[in-house]
Amino acid sequence: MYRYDEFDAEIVRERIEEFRAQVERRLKGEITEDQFKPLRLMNGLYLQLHAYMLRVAIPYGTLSSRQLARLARIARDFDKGYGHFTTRQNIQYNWVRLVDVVPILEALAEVEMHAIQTSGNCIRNVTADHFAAAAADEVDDPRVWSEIIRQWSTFHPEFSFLPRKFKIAVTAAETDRAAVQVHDIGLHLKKRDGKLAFTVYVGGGQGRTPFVAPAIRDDLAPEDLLSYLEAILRVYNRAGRRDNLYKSRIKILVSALGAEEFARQVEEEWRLSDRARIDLPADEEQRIRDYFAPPCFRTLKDADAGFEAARARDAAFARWVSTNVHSHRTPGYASVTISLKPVGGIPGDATAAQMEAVAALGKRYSFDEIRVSHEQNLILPHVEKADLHDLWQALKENGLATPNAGLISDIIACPGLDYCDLANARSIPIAQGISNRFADLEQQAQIGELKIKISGCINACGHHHVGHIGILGVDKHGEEFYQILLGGRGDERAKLGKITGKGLPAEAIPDAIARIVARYIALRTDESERFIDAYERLGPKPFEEALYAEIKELAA
Amino acid sequence: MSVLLTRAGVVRDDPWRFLAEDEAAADGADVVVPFARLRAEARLAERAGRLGVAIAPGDRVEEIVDKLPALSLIAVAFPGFRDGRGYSTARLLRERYRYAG
Amino acid sequence: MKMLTAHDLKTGAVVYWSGDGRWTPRIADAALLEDAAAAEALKAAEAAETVIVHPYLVPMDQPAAPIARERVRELIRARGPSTHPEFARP
Ligand code: HEM
Ligand code: SF4
Repeated sequence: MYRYDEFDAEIVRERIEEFRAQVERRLKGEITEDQFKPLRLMNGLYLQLHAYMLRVAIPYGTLSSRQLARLARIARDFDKGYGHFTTRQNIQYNWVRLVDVVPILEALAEVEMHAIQTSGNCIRNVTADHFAAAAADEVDDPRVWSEIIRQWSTFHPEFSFLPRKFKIAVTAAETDRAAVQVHDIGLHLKKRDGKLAFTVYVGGGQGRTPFVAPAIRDDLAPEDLLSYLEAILRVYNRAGRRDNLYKSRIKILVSALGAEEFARQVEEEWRLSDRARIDLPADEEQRIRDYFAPPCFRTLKDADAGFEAARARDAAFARWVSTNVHSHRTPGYASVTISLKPVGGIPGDATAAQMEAVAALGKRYSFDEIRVSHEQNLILPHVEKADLHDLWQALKENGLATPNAGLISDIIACPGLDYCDLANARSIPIAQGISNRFADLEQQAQIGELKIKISGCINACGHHHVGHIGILGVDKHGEEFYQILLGGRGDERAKLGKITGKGLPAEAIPDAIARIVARYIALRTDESERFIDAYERLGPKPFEEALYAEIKELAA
Repeated sequence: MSVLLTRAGVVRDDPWRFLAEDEAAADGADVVVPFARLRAEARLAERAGRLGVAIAPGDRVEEIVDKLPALSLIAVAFPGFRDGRGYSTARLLRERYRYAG
Repeated sequence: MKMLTAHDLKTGAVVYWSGDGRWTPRIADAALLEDAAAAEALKAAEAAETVIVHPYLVPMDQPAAPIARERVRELIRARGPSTHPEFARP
């Protein structure tokens, strides 16, 4: 795994000292809040509804056991005993005291973590496929490229004051699990004529003006990556709008110019650039790649007799395996989704005890590696099949074995009005209401894959535009209302959901979702036709009808 | 490269005089002209006295590349610290156009 | 009528202006202020930079009852996240 080198560690330490002095000056009244606010934001510290909130970066979602255990300790010592994993593969602490922030940053620095570039108009934490280096459908480890981008973008002298925040996501698998097409830049590494090449998507995003990004290039040689990114960023830094906050993302520039013209400008800029000076020499790429060397897998047969026997014997285990265990490219191994979505629970929250348990299990069963998925779950990427039953039991003891990965209760929800200063409506209770409505796991399994995503306002932190069913909280004369979107998807065939008719009050949402689901079940060709497939085959009409039908009809 | 900015965004060096749009460039004086004037007034470099240009965030340095050899000073303005366009300008000047003034 | 609220600078905790020189964590103890008094209290709060952060006024119709668009938001702010009743404040 990548370890920060001396250079990084030194800068992080300097930043903490700088911030310590800034906090002291703020407390003494030597600087005002107006002066302090940009400084605290540069260190990931927001002021939210109830308290300060600290956002900590988890680059490309990869953690060691020691790092996760440290996140647990911070939750216990400095927060109310839990943390919230976000769609951006970060963790947010919701109850941080200003006077504790420096000690927290010090505790993070000891395990090579920090909160830098988690706010502000810079290149933010790079996100990647959570099954990196485990997925069978992968052509390379996306974290190698994510790390190269991380090093290049951290404290980048030219791109630290962009028109607006900038998010880059990377995948190197056929199935896009990182929603790359709804990022400012999405990089999809593929094999092309036997060679690796990036498809470069630019100008995707959610928020109030959502876009699926157009691809401006499908044959970028990996060794040209950094110079090409610089060309994109430079065109954006110079031409992106700075006069209107809502029009300042790169997606607006790309759509105003048209993808073709934007691509032309990037190519022109790239042609003129001094690539040799920017691109990573092969030996440097190799040095970074070495950090991501695969663990020492044992040579195993793919089928494990003990595992198969447990699966045959124990129906609850078998159910969990069918949803939360994923095939691995190494025979005899599997990847495991640890659901942070217990029935009726808060999506993405984990207690200190749970984080500690997962840290220990990661150490014991998964080569000391844990991942955070953008779907707000934790992942153990490399588990021997023979260990799965033991692991499952240990997870169960910690309330972490809900067999619902990818199902209707595996909901993405932003913090919403329970925490967020910008919110219009609550998100979490809506997720809980739906989760409780579908508490029967048997029924969930029968419904099959269905991705519900909820945001508490138009900013779309909860990805509602790309939920199979998206839910957006709106404010209607001081009341919380919810707009429903249908048919979005965030994968390699990304699409924005269609906004349906008028919003519904919170109490009506679980039944409204149930009506849509009932209609789907009635219309699907068979169990293999997922909700999203049926939607794409039939169009929105039958589902919209169901959504606005009387509640009575459903009961019949 | 000479980004001679003080906190207030003004060059501190005394001999330099920042000219307004319509202010005549006196012979013999060291003057810094706005970007648009540098482009429009062909004869500025023929005067006695040094010549500089003030580049605002939206100005595109590509348009004055042919004039760079005549410039003794380039002032890249950062009117607000959130506006990072000047960093691209500075980088282009230094790396692409090898301005070392 | 208005209420003055802010966050404690050191802890970030939600506080209300009691009207008698104190900041209190309880919305029930927040002073109901006439517009002129409210504006004055806000001005004083803005000057109290070393004590609190982000002071602002909330429209009210009676004690502990924010109105209009702020209603749900301010009630959640006063009590704590609706998803964590165990953290609820009186
Ligand atoms: C609680 C503090 C938060 C604040 C103040 C905040 C603010 C914002 C804003 C203003 C936008 C819109 C940007 C735009 O349209 O240009 C946005 C978008 C977004 N945020 Fe958040 N957010 C917060 C929490 C989160 C959390 C918890 C997550 C992850 C669960 C998240 C992930 C995202 C994502 C994925 C987007 C959409 C993509 C984009 O347009 O950037 N944010 N956020
Ligand atoms: S979508 Fe809105 S409510 Fe939800 S976290 Fe983002 S800004 Fe807050």
